[in-house]
Amino acid sequence: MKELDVLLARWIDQGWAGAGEERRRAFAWLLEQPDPDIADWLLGGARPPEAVRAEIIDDILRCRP
Amino acid sequence: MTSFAVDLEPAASPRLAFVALAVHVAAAASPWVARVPGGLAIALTMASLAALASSLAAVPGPHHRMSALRIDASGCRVRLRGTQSWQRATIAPGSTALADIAFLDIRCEGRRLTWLLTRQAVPAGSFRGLKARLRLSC
Repeated sequence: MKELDVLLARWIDQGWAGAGEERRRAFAWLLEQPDPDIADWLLGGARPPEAVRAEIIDDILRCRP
Repeated sequence: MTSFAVDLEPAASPRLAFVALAVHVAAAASPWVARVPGGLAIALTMASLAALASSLAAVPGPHHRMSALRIDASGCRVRLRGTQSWQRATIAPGSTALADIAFLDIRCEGRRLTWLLTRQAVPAGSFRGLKARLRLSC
């Protein structure tokens, strides 16, 4: 999904360099998840199961266009 | 964690090969449709047909020399078809990813290997990882 690609790319540009190990691992985990789940978390307001994984979602959604 | 691993072992892409063939045939025919003068039309047609070979060579399938690619913290490695060992490789700057297709320009043992990958050719997570990895390399 193009919207997901845009959001993920934005975090790579704005968030990766300053991210700690845990946040980077959470992002790598996110990349492996099915499209519908990522869409639910990034576009649908749902929350992933663990707090550390919810933080990467919040981080991605905070990135500016 | 400076990076994350990406493993690619793409399936054969006969549809992509057909699209590449159609695009090149259309390009080869277009100078004649547009009534371009003879010499120039021949040159343009020959160029289109010559480029077809390199386009088809980049489509994953049993003809391709590269069967798998792995990118991780230790770098990039490829497995050549018919072998079990991994060779060190580098991703050339010309590699790029668009929404549903990625072009990989790989250098391995002095050879240039290219892959044209559609999103459908690899698992969704691998394609997303590849796109992220290419973006980080920019």
